[in-house]
Amino acid sequence: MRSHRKIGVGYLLSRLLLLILLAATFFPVLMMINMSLKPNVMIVNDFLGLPEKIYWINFQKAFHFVIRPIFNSMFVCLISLILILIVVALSGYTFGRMEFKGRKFLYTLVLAVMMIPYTLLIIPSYNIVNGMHLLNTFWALIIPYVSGQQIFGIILAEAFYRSLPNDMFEAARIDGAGEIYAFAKIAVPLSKPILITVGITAVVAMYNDYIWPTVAITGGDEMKTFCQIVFNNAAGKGATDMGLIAAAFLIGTVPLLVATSSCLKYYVQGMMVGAVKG
Amino acid sequence: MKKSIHAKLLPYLFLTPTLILMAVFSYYAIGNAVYTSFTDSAFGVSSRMVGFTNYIAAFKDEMFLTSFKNQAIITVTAVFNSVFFPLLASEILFFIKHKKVASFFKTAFVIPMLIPQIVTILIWKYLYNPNFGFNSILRALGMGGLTHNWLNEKSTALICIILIGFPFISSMYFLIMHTGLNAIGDELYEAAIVDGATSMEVVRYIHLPNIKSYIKVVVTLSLIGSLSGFGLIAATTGGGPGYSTMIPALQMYKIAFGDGKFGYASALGVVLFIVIILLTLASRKLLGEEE
Repeated sequence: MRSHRKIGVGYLLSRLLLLILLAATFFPVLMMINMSLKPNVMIVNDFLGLPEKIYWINFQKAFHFVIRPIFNSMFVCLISLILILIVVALSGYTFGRMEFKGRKFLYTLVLAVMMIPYTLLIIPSYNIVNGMHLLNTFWALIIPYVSGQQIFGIILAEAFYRSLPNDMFEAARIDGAGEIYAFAKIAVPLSKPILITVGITAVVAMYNDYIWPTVAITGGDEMKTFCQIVFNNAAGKGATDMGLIAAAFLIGTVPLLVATSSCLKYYVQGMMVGAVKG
Repeated sequence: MKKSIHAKLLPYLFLTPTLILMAVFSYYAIGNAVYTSFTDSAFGVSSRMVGFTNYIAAFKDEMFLTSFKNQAIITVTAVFNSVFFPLLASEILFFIKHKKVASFFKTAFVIPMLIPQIVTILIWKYLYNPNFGFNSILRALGMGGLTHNWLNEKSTALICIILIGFPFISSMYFLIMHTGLNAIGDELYEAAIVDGATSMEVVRYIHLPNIKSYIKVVVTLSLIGSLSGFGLIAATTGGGPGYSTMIPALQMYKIAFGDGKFGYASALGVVLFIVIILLTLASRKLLGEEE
């Protein structure tokens, strides 16, 4: 039971504060929508003003130059996502439910990776990918992404699989089912929420990354990812029409929103399981 | 029950992909970074062992020292921002009884996570533009004298970069805090209700002591995030003007992929790595070890 009193002034003030925080959080997005609907001249002369007439041409033009990068990003994310989920389910289950020699040591090795800053790995990753002759291919993105994103996923999944009740697996064992059956037919279906959480976290991180692509994909524009194109724009390369760029941003945000909004409920649940584990 | 060879090998078989990836892209990579830091490698091509030359150069490098000072300012404010505002929002949300209102706010604070960070950063860059954005607002209010070329003046650049995160609520940290508050058992509140405790007392004596471990997670995550991320500055000022907004991670990236000096850049990276580990351990000590 929580208290049921009304608080008067404090009640109103706290809600006002919440609205202000929310407004501050959404302010950039609202500005962006406003910009995307105005021609460039209007943005410069009347930045805050609402568009007099909705200027759809921005979206038409932007669509042509971002569609390829968006598909590149989606392709990289999709392949990486599939691989990440396979690796996370396998390793999470093994660490969470199997007894074997060296379990503790190997799991400590996984945990220790969390401490390595991403920045330190940029140069060696470049050396490794270069050594594999993978620079300027999508694999130069996919393989390091799977390697980096699996860690957080394994930690979440390990906690989840370990928390599953034992009797479910005992029953299957008495029926003569093997470990592979227990993994594929019992554990994996149950772990849908946690795998969705891992998937969303990974996809958001990969789709948003622009540092590694600028290192690994240096060839022509046809290979570049969406956020890389946006970043290049920020660095002063490419279009200077701000309405056009804002429209491009909005178009590029859509795939992520669509892909994740349907699973947002699971994501929140999964985060809670994960946060409790810390 | 005796296990077959097959059953004994299965765990290792399941772990093979993880172990191979980890061995190459994490552990070999660290070794490679440390090794490279002792060479004069350029773009990973020619390399000769040069001993501690790179490290000695790093500690004489004025830009690197300024970078660390900037980093300290940015990190302190980033950690504060990551803890205070999400905690404030989830505390207020906690006291909202109306189910629909509460769930509306919760969803609203999670959605920004789905907007690419670089997009948000660039919008801020436009807001700081000398010709429009905030300057338009100031001019409209008749305060034209206060306008600045925000990101290109030494006096304003660093503070503007810090303000990009203020008081933006990070969805991830918000969710962690929210989870923490809701995980507190009901029995703790019963005594408070009997005593007629005010909301502030509930926050002070029940919430804060019980969500310490969640706050610790947020502090650690935001500390590591702030120390190793450099995308924001790379996309806004590129470390300038001069090197007034330079941070170690960005300097390392620029030296590596701009100048091609992999050896020197790796030395900077190793120093940064050691600092991060020390700070993470220190913050754990400070906040108390529990698990």
